[in-house]
Amino acid sequence: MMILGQISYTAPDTVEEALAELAKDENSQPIAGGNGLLTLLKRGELNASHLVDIGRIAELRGVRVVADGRLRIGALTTLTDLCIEPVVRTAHMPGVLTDAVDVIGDVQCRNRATVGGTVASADPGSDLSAALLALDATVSIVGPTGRRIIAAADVFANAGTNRDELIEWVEIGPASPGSAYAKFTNRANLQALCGIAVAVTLSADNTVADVAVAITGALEVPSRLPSLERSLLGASLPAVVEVAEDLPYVASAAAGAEYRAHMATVLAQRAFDSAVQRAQNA
Amino acid sequence: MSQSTDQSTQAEPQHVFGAGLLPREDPAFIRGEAIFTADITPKNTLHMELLRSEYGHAEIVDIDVSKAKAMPGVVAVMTGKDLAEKLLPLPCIWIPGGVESHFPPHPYGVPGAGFVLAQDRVRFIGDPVVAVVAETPYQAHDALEAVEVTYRELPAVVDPKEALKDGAPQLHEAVANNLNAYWTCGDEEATDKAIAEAEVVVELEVHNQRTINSSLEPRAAIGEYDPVKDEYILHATSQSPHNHRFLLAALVLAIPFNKLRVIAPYIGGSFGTKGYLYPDMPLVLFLAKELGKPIKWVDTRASLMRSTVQGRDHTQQATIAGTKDGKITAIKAISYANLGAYPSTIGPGVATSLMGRTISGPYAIPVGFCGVYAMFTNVVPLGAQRGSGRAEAVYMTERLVDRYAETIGMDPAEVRLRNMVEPDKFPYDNNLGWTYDSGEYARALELALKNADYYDFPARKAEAATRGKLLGIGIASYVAICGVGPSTRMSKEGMLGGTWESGNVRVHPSGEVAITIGSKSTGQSHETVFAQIAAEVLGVDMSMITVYHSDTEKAPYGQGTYGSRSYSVGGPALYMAAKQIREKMVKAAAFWFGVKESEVEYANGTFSVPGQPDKTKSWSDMAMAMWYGWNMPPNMAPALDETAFFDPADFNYPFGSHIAVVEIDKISGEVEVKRYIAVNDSGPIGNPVVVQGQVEGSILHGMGQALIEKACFDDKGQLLTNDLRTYAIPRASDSVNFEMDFTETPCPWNPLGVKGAGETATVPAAAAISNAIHNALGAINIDMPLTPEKIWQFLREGNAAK
Repeated sequence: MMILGQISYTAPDTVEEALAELAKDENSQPIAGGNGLLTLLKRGELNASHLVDIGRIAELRGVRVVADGRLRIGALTTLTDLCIEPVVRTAHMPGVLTDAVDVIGDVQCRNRATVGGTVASADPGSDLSAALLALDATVSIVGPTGRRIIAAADVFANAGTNRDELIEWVEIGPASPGSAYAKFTNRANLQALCGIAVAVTLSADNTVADVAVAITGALEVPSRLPSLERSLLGASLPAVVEVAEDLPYVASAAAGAEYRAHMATVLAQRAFDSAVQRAQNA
Repeated sequence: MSQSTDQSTQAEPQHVFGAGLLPREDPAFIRGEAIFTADITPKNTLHMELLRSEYGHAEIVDIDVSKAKAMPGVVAVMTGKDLAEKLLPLPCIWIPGGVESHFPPHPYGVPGAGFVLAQDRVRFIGDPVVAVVAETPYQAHDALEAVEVTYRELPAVVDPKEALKDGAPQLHEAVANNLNAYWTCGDEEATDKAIAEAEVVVELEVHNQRTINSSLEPRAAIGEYDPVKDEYILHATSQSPHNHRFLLAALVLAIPFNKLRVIAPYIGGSFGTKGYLYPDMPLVLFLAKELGKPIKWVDTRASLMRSTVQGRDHTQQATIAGTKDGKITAIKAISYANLGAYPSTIGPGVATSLMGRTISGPYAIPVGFCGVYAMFTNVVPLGAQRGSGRAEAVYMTERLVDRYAETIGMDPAEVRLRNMVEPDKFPYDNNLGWTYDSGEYARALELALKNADYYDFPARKAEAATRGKLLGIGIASYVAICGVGPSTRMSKEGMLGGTWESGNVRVHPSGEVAITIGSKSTGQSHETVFAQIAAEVLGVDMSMITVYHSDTEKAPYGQGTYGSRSYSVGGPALYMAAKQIREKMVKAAAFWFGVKESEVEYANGTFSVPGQPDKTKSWSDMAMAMWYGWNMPPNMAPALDETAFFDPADFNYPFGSHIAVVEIDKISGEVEVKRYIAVNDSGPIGNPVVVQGQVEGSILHGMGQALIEKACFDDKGQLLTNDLRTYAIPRASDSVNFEMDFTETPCPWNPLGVKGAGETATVPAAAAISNAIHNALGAINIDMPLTPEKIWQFLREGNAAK
């Protein structure tokens, strides 16, 4: 059904207040952009009687460079803002981030969706998840038991954050010179039936010095592909990229497992070639 | 002419008929100011929600509404039993013509279409079971969840071929073997003989998959009852307000016709779905009287997907026969049409006549035959979708023609050109029941071939191959019956109703003009294009004309908007009314000038007698003089108010040829539509801006069926594609640069010469895309939607893969 049940609403100004609100009612949910949450509520797939709007919490905003050239992205940064943020666009050059954001939903959707909300909901077909994995993202989560800083991969493996927790920020590694994202789209919900993110660093002799490859949509959980990464290390260019066919690919009415496996290799090659080209042009 | 680029601001175009004026109603739509049904909430309104079946097929064992009745704000909870003696079942008014057919019962002896609320059984996933009325929509929604229905699930059947088999689950007691009708057209014996004797025979099983109509605005209905006048008022998303009034009053509510008024506010798309009767319409009216307050119901997207009529859904066993040198000698199809659980208001006619009689396309084929098994199954009722029936036929025929061309080794364009009906053969009887009005079918195809650089294609294909791409080109030519239509002819076709239109023109004393039409826009810009007809005839500026419609209390009778009929049936009615006004004014002017009628000239807003400068009267002076009526000519009544009715001599038959160019990635199977060339002929075009928009939307609709859309039910009748997260529709980003062109062949059956346009470009679009993909792949037949996965499977496994 598309009609919301009766829901109370509050919009605190601080993380502390928000956590207190979430703690006192076990049917509460935090809401940021609301793209994902409202659909779940309207379709009756999630019940909530209390919404805690975190949109006014100033400390969750902003993008800045921190130690070791890592980039700290405030949880409330919208996907649109992320791509126009000067520090992202010019200094960091994370092609994979902008590639991925450009193919998420549509403009209105990206204007509302936040980085924190996307990570917290951990949709298995999220484009941003693959990009973050390829950039060695870590996530700072605060909750009733305090703060923990964990790898984005762990957030996805746990199917997101807990109801009574908030993401403060997402941090990504120093920019690799070349990165890219390639996607095969679910034409109904626009998520990835299969998406591959690649970040690559080249040696002076034009071989692969370092590479990260992440997959989304095609497996139960967005993940890195470590055996593929190992096989590419030291490879000379152009390199043939093949994603293993025996991974636990998911099947649905929108695409079968065999086709997703096939597309994983097709998209990995595309993303890798594009990342290499960017690295060479950098 | 003005040099302004904004044509809508031109002071007085030479010819306003045919001018590409920007639609006047659009700014209000774009700014969000237009009022749709859901925007209306009368004072003291109560809100209704419907509980729909959880099963594809089940017996209702028990319904316990006690908890729901006790919920906050709940005013009433109604089950089918509560209504059994109070509301009649819905009727079906388009039965398969000329053959024996079987329907659920209706006490008045007309074909029935199921109860307003299910009685003892549910037959599809959207069957309404309980209506809850509460003070707010939220309370009604919450109370729905407190209704306890005990079902006993029954075996279901969702495939029309399976439904016909012995031992299949049975849906209706009055319908043996789930067979509504076996309908035929053409000469089977002669067709079989021609096929048996033919040099070349090509067979194909084509599945025209079921699609979900996804208009931007879901349906809505508001019922009111005025105890002072003892009158019901229905505001609804209705593309046929007069028809809805007639059917609801006479056959569902059983009240006098003059006790029901239907008003249809602006509509956000329909594609055929909003001309049907749905249970919510009589329910809100009945409950408004029962509860003494207005009752409002607004559908949701998820509910729309399981209850609004769906489209297509034919499984066609098709045969084409011909000579080795490219002359088609026979065409035959046996189709299984999936009507769903109940006959929708006009569904059985759509699935039979509109599909079956159309399979000869634009070709002069000596003999043909089509048989349709119209079947009931446990899925959502079937109705119209843009180009209904005709798109299903043309898809099949155009796939067959390509297969035939391939089999004899001839260019598919050449085969089409050799077989098209020649311009001097009209009116042309297609041997299947349609008489084509006029056309230059080959000219339209030749123009499309030229625009597509068709004969340079091999070079482009070779270039694409060097990039690892498979380039394909596909042609689809069509003739699409439109402009329903001659009432007598439609009665023989099984339509229980009239299909004429009306128009009224009234000139105010100030000279401004009110035109009122019986048809209803669901996005076709009636307020612009009908005003253009009046402006042209009356010689007044568009700004002086207001268009009224869609209120049965104020508008002259009309039959509504469907089958691309508004402009070609309603347009002539309005044209005739405007001519009557002008003729009356000329007559009066002649009397006042003391000259013969033939001496009066009307130009630039002035009635005058050439050479006699003292004898002039402006348009508004004339209007005022007619209003005063002080010195009327003998036998002429005062005032200017004329109504005309129009029932065409026959249908009209727009036609054309489309060409798609697609590029397929050999490794991934991904398809890119590189070019789309469309040549359409809808006769003279009243407003090219409006028609171009309709052509673009129509093509996208067809592309949706070809590439991404498919309604999926499991074998128990559960809808798997039950929201827009699981059912894909084309988006604006799927648009390509539509290369549009037009030829213009007037229709002889109406004074404007116009033919239908709103849906016609949908008819060949899926076939053009599909033929291009098959051409690129060298494939025999892959079922729609042609997804990258299916194409990849084909590339891997070859023609063995289906």
